[in-house]
Amino acid sequence: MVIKMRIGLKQVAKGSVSAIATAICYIVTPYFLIEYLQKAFPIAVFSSVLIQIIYLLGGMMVVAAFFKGIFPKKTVNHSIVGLASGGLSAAYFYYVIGGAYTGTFGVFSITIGTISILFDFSLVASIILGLILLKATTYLIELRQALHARKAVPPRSMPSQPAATQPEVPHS
Amino acid sequence: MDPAKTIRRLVLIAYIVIILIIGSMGYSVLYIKFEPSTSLKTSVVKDLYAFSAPFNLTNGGFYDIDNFNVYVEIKNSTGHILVNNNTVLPPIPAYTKYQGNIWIALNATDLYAKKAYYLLFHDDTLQFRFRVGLGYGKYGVSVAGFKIDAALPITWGAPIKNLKLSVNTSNPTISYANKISVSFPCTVSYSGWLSISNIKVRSTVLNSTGTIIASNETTLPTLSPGTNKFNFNATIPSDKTPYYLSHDDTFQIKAELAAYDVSFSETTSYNWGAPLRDIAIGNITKQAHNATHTKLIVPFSGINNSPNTFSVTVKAYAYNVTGGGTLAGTGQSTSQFLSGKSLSDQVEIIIKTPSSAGQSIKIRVDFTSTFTYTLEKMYTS
Repeated sequence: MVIKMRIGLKQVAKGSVSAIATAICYIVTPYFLIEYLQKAFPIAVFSSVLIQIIYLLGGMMVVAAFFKGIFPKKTVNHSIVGLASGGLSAAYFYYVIGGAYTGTFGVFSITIGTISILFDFSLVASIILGLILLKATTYLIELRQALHARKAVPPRSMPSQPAATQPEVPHS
Repeated sequence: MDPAKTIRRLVLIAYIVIILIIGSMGYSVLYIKFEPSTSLKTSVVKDLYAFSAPFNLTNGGFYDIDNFNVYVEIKNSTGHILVNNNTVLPPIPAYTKYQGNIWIALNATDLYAKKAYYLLFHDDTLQFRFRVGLGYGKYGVSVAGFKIDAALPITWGAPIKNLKLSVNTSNPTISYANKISVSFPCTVSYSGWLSISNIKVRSTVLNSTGTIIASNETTLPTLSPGTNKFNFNATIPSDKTPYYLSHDDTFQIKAELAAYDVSFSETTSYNWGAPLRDIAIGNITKQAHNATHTKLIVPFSGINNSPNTFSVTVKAYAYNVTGGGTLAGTGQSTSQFLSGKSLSDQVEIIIKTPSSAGQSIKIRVDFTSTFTYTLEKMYTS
């Protein structure tokens, strides 16, 4: 089975822009924000685990964003990558924004000497996480539609060539 | 309609709603003012040591504050919770002001009950911990929660500090009536802030051989910080009184004071000086008094080792042993028993001259002052 794709320069550029935007949003901005907060509030300590999670999940999201940009919308590949991207977004939010790596999701604490201040946004955070996952399910719907559309188009027989799967038609 | 697109639009709307709620809450929080007391106030009322931190909370925001509770606890330096208190405050509606007070008290009796005796007698650094929790932005349930947990060190001044019991044996008051009773001035001194009531003081007196010769228990109604004076009484029972009227000894005096199940004791020694030490009747002699009567001269001697001087009435009685113990005659004199001095004196008895020599006469001498002491001796004419 051979999958043939026509990926033009335009798609690569689109994917790259999407990847750069994702990198700025999920890696560069958090990195500088943490740097700034550490300088502004020297008593604030950020866990190295948080930084590692930002790099790991952020990197995966950049790759996903690149491929999501390359693949045309409403295609199987775009839907699969979109689904993966939605899952990664949920994981990123769960661990980084939701602070789940500390053991409590949606609860943020500041400790200054013997005073500890705790903010509990677990309800809001849970709703946002639910919305991220809900948005990710739209790619499942799109995947189902793309697979359905693929079945609806009959395969063309090409006598001069061996049978091959139908290449995906990029949608502009 | 494309369901995926519909869901995305709904998600977008939900995001906008959430952002609006969070934004309005963030803006609203700016109008909440919490004004705590600048310092922790401490006060002492009877046996309560109270800590209070008054505060004002102005909820000028759009949302009610609910689930507002204040938990306060006091731990000792080893982390043992001495007292805790959780107060659930009523909801504070938007645009209202609430005046509250975080209050907790340590009761000296509680310390005793919680086996934290040492805090009654020793200073410590306690941890005053308070935890304030509240919910904010209520849409059926609170959208956000806030909790502040703080621990402040506070210096604990022991309510009974440097407690000292002392017995002054240099200047006791001695009573010799019926029983010897020695009253020693005592002081109980301590610093701190707690007045103690119904304090039991036990006194024990041991002689030089370690035998308990007197014990007593008394209750002091109230002791206050500072110096408290009272008298410590040791009473020698009547059966032992004659011995100690005529014999010196060294007493070990133990005074024991019990406060909140903790005993303080003071042991001191006291050199007992007998007022009639070595008192004895000397050689009785006789002289002719007149044709029918004879004078018996009864000498006596001893040392007054007590701190007191006595005027002693010495009464002598002569009994005819052979005549069935009938009283043959009496004599009386008065002697000054000076403190720390030896004494040698005599008393004369006029009796009817015995008809024959070799008659046995029992001489009894009563020394009477604030005490009574009797000596007897046989005399053969």
